[in-house]
Amino acid sequence: MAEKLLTVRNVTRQFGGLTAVNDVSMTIYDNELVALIGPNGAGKTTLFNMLSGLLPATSGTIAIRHDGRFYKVSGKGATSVAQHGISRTFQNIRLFGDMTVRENIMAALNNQFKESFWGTIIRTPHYYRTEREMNDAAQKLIDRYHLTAVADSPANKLPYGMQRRVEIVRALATKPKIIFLDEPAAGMNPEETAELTTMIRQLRDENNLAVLLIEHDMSLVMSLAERIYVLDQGEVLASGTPKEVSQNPAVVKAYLGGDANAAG
Amino acid sequence: MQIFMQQLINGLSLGSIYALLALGYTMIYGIIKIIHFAHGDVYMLGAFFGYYTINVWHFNFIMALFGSMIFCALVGMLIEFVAYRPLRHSSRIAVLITAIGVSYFLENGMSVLFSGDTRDFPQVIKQVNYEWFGIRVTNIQLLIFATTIILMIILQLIVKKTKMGRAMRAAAADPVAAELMGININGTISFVFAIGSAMAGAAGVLIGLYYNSIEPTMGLTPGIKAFVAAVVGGVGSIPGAAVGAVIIGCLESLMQAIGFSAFKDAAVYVVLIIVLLFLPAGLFGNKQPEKV
Repeated sequence: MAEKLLTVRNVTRQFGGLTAVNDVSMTIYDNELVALIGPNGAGKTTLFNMLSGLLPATSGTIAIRHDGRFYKVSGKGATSVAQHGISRTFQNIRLFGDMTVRENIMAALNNQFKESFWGTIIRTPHYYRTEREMNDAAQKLIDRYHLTAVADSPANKLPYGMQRRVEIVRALATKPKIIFLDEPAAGMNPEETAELTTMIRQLRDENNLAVLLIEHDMSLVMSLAERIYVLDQGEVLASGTPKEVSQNPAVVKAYLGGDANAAG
Repeated sequence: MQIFMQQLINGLSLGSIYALLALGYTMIYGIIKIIHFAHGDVYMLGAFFGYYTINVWHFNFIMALFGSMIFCALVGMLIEFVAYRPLRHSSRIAVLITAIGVSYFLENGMSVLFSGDTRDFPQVIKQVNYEWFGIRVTNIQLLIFATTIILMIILQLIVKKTKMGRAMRAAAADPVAAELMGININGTISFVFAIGSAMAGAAGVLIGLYYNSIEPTMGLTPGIKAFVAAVVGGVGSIPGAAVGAVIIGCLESLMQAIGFSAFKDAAVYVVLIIVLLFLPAGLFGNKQPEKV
């Protein structure tokens, strides 16, 4: 049985008088594909920002298992979050624009390679070895996720759908145990979305990691997710398998804005 | 024509010094978006440290240059750690005022410790004049060109080809995303301050040799000129800073050549105003509006 990887306990986040996320609890297990859905303004991105350490929770705890122990994520800051095996992409793609795809990926490998101060300045043999190893590691990811053709182009010159793929691979380069994808299919055409679905599944299967994604494209969510959390007005409205969730009257009501029975 | 060429050589020497300073400004702005006003004073400290090591420890030129670079790298990291790091999430104006405060602190601190007098910089290298087609070049000017070019090449290699360089560019592009990708932001910022300040230290020793005199407030004007050079080139752009510095250096020399010595500083600021009015992003700057 899969172990618990990420636990969210009674997390609340207030902005002034507004409660964006209210008493949310959820659990993600190893190697799981989970989707977080909900109407606009439901608090999904706020929750994501707390999960990835960008935003402290007003109350409640978020913890990630790392080397058999659970570490608090809430209020830790982004660097330690990355070190504990969490990585993410952004709704409004945040690649390092002027850098090439390869450099973007190599930058995300930074944590896994050591280079001394003097090595950087005077290029010791160790420097060359580190550079080569980093380049090899990046090349592996480039080949595996079909980025060879664009590997040496600046990231901001790529088409939108490609930038999303690059951002996912960059997140993967940090060797996470869980990866958060914030609307990975936004702005993609159906063909790109289909490729993305394959890619996310491949990502999960080959790297032994869990995926939590926010997505509005319901066909992607229903075909990909093993479990779904539905957020509405900052609270968990429902959770379960895609089938359970899609038959839940409260969910149908929140989404269609009508009476579930009437709609059905 | 001969005078013009002669002033161009002098302008290039001065421009090289400004370039070393401007690179620090531009890199530091690139990564933490602050104008490090104390940068000119780090250059002053570099000159004084060179003065000290040559006079007291009898360092030769190379040793004095490296000594000052290492000393200034440490000073730069210390300034960042003490003055800027606690304000990382404060408003920019607070950091700006702090930078001016650090600048005054260093200038007046040095005046108290070493008096405000002008001192003769020890001439560790005997000046030799070369003449080609009536244009005079000194060995010190050649040394300034060579040192500046070598340091700029090393800097470019660090930024383009190393792990730390990628971290620097990533952090400059998007600090939040960089941090989430596991890049140590504080370490990277310290490194930028170390490198930028080391270049300022080198510039301090070179100017000591070139102008032969140092004083605690010597960093003020070159600091501002280097800042202008960075703006002209486009703040955040490394090649821009180098080009901007050469432009400013040559402009100053040419103003002197045509008999407007008294207006050479004014000319530099006029260029600043013109650039800000018509080309606010500078020559090599990022044309896109800044995302906040």
